[in-house]
Amino acid sequence: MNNWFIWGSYGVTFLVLALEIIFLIKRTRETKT
Amino acid sequence: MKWFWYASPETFYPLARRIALACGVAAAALAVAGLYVGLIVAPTDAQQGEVYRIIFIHVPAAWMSMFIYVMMAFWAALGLALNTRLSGMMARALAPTGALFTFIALWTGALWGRPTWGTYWVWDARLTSELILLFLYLGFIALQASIDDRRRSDRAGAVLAIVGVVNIPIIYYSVQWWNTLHQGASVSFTRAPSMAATMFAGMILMALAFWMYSIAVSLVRVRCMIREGG
Amino acid sequence: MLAAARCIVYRDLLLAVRRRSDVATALLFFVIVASLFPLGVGAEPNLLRAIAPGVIWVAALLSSMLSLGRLFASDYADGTLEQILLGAAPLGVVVAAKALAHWLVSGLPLVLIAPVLALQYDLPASLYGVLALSLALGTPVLSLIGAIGAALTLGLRGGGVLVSLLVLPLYVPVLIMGAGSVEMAGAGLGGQGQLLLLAAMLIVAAAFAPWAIAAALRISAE
Repeated sequence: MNNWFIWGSYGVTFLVLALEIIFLIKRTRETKT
Repeated sequence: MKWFWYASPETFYPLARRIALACGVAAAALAVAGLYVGLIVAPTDAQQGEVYRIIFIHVPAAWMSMFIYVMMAFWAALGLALNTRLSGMMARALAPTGALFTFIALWTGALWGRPTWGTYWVWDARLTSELILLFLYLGFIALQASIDDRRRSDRAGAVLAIVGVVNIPIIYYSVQWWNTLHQGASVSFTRAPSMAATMFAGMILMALAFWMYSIAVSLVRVRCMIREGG
Repeated sequence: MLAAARCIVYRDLLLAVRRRSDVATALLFFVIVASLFPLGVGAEPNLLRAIAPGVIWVAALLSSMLSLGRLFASDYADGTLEQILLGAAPLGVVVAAKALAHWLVSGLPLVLIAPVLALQYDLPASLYGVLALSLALGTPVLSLIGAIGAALTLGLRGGGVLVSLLVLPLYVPVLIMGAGSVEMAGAGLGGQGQLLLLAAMLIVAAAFAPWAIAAALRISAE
């Protein structure tokens, strides 16, 4: 049961950092044109 | 003086790519190492079981959130003093990443608090200070976003960042005191599990991973800004 | 230098007297906000007595913040600000004088009205002094810090909300020490420590804020 909290922590962290990277890649592509 | 050569956005541009790549690779490697130590090597805690493993994200994220703010203020102040565009870009690029780490620290703090102390939000001194730090970041980002003129935006942000960084110790101390006034020592993140060497190693590795990540991401963002016209 | 300061204070006070409604609205806001809390949390006397210092202080914070818009906006609009920036008087002195005038108009009335609100919350009369003193020390700090925010956001579309976002986190230590002093006094432990810290904050703010305000004004108005 407590594992949900661990998954939630690590999961959201990686999700949020991945989102940052994705948005940054998007911005890179847009400015390169 | 080599520094001033790189103070020009044009010359900094290719250097930023090299550094970002190197830091990105380092970040990935350190993260793997840190997660290995944190999730597999470090033993189960006697009091908190497995949940304490959240500490390997929570504490490094909190460290990063504060470190990045200081770095942001440093670059902003440098830009204000020396009138260099690149320094302003660096500060602007650091802000979103810093805010993100502050959010991560708050989120993981809440998820750690629930199974350990029963509630998601405990008005612990450090969490409350983190919350205020998040507001400081958001204020900086909002201020810069609301000013169209790039130069005014950089300089206004710099003043705000300097005022913020000077206030952070004052805010931290006040919140510490407030916490002792309103709560017994029953709930405290400072009473983390007694630090075994492996736990400490895990936290350091994750902290370094986050640090390398921040540098890589911020530099890529600066490159985008340079392409967008500075 | 003092002549410039006196001139600015006199001018701002004169303008405030002419636009009495602005001043009165801020004061009224203070009273209204403080009156809203019992309606929200219930009128149980023990609860009200417990939250009184915090509520009155938060109301003072919000009221002070609301009146920040008035600080530079009208001068900016009619060109006075430009003249001040070009003028011979040191900008630090001018902004300090403006902050002082702002406090006299927006902060001091709060200090005087606070005991009436304390009465509403059934705060023991022995605490009125500490409450008033904490506000007297704290509201100038709010004016000084708030002026930084007002100067940074001069002419921006975000308006009052943006200033709030910038300034409220910086207000937190003043709030904690201000409300804390009254609570400590109420618990019989004496609020002197917190009052001294407030005084220290005031001295530091008075020494450093004018620089930040002046820098922000130059950045915004040039």
